[in-house]
Amino acid sequence: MDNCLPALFLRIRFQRLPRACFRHWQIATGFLLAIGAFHHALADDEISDTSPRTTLPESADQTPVMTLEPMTIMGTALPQPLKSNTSILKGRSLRLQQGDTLGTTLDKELGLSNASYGPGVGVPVIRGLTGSRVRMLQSGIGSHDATSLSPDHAVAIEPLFAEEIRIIRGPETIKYGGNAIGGIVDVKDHRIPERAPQNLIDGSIESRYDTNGHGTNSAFKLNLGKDWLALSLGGFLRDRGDIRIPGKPIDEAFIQQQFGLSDVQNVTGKIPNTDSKSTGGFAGISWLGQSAMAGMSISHMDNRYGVPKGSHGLDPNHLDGLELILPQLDDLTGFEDIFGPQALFPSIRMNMRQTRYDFKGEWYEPVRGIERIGFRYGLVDYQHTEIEGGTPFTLFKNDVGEGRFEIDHNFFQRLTGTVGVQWINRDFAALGVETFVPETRQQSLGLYTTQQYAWDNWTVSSGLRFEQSRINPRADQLSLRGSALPPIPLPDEMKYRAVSASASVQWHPLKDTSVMLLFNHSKRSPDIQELLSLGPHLSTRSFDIGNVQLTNETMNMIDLGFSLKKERFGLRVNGYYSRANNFIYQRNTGLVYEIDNEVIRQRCVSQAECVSIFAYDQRNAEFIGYESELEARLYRLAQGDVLLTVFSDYVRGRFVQGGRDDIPRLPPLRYGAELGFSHAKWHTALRYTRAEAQNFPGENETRTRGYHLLTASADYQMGLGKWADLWLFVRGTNLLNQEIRSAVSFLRNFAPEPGRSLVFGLRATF
Amino acid sequence: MLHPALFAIVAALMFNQAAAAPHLDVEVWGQGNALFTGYCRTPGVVGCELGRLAESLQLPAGTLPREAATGKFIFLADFRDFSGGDFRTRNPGFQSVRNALLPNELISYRALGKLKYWDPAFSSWGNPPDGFQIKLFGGLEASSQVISDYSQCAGQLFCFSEGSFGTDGSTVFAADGIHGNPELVVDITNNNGVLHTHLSFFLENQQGEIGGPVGAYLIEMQVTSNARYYPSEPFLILFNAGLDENAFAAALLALIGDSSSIAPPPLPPATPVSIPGDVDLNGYVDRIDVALILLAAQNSEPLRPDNIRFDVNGDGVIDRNDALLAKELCTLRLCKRPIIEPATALNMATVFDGHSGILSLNDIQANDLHFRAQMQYQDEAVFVLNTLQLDRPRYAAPARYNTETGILEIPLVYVHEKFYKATLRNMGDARFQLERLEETDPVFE
Repeated sequence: MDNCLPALFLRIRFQRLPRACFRHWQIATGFLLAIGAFHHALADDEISDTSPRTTLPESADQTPVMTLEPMTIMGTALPQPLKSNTSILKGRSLRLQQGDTLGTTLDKELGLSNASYGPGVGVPVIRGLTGSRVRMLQSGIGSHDATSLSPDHAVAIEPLFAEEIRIIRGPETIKYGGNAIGGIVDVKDHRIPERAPQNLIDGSIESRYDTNGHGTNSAFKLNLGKDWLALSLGGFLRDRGDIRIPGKPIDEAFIQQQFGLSDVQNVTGKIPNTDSKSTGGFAGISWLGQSAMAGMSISHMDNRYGVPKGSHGLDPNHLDGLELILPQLDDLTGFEDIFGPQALFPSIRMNMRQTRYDFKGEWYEPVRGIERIGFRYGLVDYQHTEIEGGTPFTLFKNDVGEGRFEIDHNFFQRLTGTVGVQWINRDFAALGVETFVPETRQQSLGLYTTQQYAWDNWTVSSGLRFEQSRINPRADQLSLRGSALPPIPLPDEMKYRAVSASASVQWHPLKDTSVMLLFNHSKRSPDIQELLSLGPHLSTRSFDIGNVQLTNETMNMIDLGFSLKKERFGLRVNGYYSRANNFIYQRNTGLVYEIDNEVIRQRCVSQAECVSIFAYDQRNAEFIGYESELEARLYRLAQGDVLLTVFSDYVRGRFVQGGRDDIPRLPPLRYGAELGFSHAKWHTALRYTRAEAQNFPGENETRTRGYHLLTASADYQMGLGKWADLWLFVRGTNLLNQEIRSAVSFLRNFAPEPGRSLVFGLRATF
Repeated sequence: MLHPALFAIVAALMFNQAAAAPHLDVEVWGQGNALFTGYCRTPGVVGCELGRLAESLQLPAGTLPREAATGKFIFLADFRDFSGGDFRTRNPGFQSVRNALLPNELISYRALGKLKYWDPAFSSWGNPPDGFQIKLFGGLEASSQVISDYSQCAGQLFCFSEGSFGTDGSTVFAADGIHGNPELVVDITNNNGVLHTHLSFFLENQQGEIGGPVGAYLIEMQVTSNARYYPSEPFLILFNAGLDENAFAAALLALIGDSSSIAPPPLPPATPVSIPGDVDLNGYVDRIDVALILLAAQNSEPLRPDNIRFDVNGDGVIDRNDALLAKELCTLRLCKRPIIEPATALNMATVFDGHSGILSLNDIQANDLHFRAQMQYQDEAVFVLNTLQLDRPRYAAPARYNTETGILEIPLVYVHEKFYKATLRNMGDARFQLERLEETDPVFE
């Protein structure tokens, strides 16, 4: 399906399209035809409808006594009260924070961190949880990439298109399913237009330059249409070189201690093979009726990035015996392709492609008591190829359909709510060399409801979800390539049922003050890799063994939040405690797997050639933490306001059975302050963040040092006549050029975070 | 002539000379219902360096390392051949050529006898002091304790006995005999009956602390097969733990004695050449085959019955054309790779970064000394020396500094994916004037 988009644009005759493309094109065409028919039906209705009549009773000679102009009165539902663990990033703040990845875009947000694997990968971590526990959504439908499978897989969401990013810290399983047990990140990009532009066309164009790695980002968005028809178009291009860092990427002391290697390939000042190039675009169309809308979008992205050297192979002295023969050869002319540096020490590259077909339909107030009927469906065709030294070696594929049908009611004045159904069909395959997870089909169906009761200055909310999921491996048995391990039979099917519930009470004792108590009981079914992994997993330097009898993971969380918003200052504090029963984790078996010999041992000579064997298991765990932020306007001057923000966040996670080991890869204590100077047209800010050392790294993990992160930004808004506005900005990150090794990154000892960088950008909106 | 840049890369990567210590792999083959072991015969292949080993130990001509008293083969290994420590080694390896064993034949080892120690102070064999022992970690995946039924492993896809991984995966060779698990897996052959694998040997005390006294250590084992009734004849493995070559040779010679009366060893059956280019007979044409042919061509080896497979094109001569043809026949994914990675500071002796203006001279030779230096570009083609430190030789083609004329000749400097020759003159006061800069051919052209 990856070739469908160009095929659809370039080929006219359907019969020449690939069969898969034709299937998707049929769906898209059928959906549009349905939209058209719906429009005509509503148009007919409008003709026979009496509602717009605005004339007074006619006189005997059929001439109206008085005619009034038609008047449209639109009601806007009050926004749902924002939970204290929820934040929305949009507008100027979003534009300033936008980075190359979703993780870098959000890592300033409280409770969030960026799990990098080199700069090409940046996965948001919410309160220490990520992977299968945090859902990445694109306008409510999952990104359905392969991030949960491995930390070197990038999120297939382009942050440059984001108009608004909604972050929920903590379980959000009621609407989004078990994989949202740690929270959600929902990127709203309006690919399916929800309004027509006022002047037939509007849009934006943006370009950025990053001094670190000579990164260039450019994007455009166009909105076209009038009355009932709206179109949207967008495209982006990103290109960057190797990331620059202070010092050396590989922590040689760690390599010596962990692998016993005194000589490693290391460089100074940059991380080799971290360049990336990404392109993509979308086209959307919507029909906008008076009481309904329907639309669809097609989008495609292509992301090519490298992962840091050393992540998949460490020992330069081990080349299967070649290391002993090559030094004896005097002349290698003509054999550079097999004995050159790229052949001997190949780079690992990722070529990722995703094509999405998104559909949306909404009908507002179809009958009394029903506020909205909504439908969303996304068809995602994701794949990425892992390439070693220019040769593909593993292909990961994810074909997913996710849908949602919702009804919002307002039967009673004080009681409102939603009833919905959500379903996901996923076909996953990994083909090639590093196939540690078999081809698998996964299906899930969830029924849910959320209800909200408002009375006086109290709001009580609750939610309930029933979810059933099935996982069917396509293989009857698994064999370990090159190993004497006997074939391992697999069950035909694994079924899970989960009931999740949530309740919250929000109290407004005073105007601008709110206290919220939230309780969540959420369940997550095991993911494919947790059930069915078998084999070496090079990006995590592990050999993974799945467990087909894992049960649902249950998170019981209590979250107490307080927020105060006065004219001169605001305060937000959240404290939470989560008890995770049957928390799924990887237990170190104490055995190792020798990669080149493909043998399991108790111990091996060369740690660099061996990986530890981990078995998925379950154990109770607990998390405790907080997020807090105080904003204040210190002075109001004629030139602008002087603003101060003080912030801090922290999470500590430990197992509570079999010893109180720390949960690995959690972020350390963070605190800092931001001093801003703000005017209607311009803003400046200087932000200092102190991250303490992570002294609770977890079993077999290394501690990370603390760091000081200094960032600064300035932006200026100016008008270009009456047609356009221009926004100029500059942002400096890691101005102290500190060596930052992130505690949440798998690759922290091989690839630190980027060094000093300055980003210059401009954005024109018209 | 070795291309300087390529040599620089290879030399930089092969800095661990200890890794080049010769060793003898155990070649395994089967005939009927019996298993045999012997010295590896493939010329040039790593682990088949009998000639090189005999030369380095200065053994008498025609001497084979076999124990005089029993005729058992002695395979040699060195605990210092691993960069991570002096008391651990993966050698000797175990290998078989194509069709020498059955497809998917499981080969295991069986530990025998007692650990013996050569005391260099007394030049005699005896028991190791203070309970020092050799611990060997074999493969576990074909152990009888493996359970591949997840219902017996609490859902885990496989486990070792009683739902856990608590199996003993080691064999201990001690002065009083064998402890631990005496039989563990070597490996399973592939579909061509080919085996090439290495185990993990550690020298340690009884508390498991790595290390031991200098000397030579001798263990005994045999190999068994799941497809043959008779195991191989027992053989010995002699480990060097810190002895120089003469002392190690003395330890070996004390075992060999006068071996002239020993019956000649059994030879493996001749293996027909069925895959052109597969000179190491491992069932594939890979980069090692190409390198071995290149080495034979470089040494102008005459064509003999035992190396006739090196003449891949059949023209009666082993030359580079045979290596080129073998490269074309190579089918493995690690064999053919496009050159897409430019030279970097990692693999070039001299690199100029136009953004920072830093000229990194990773190897400068001045008389007999080698240095590492960094210069900062100023203006008007002038560089200022920022750092200079004594270093070891790292590259085959270093920059050369003439202390009398003050001229610094840089044979190849990498600048933004291009290559240049450059000459700088020392103007005094740590300033160097760029006098010549001309683009030259890329590294591999």
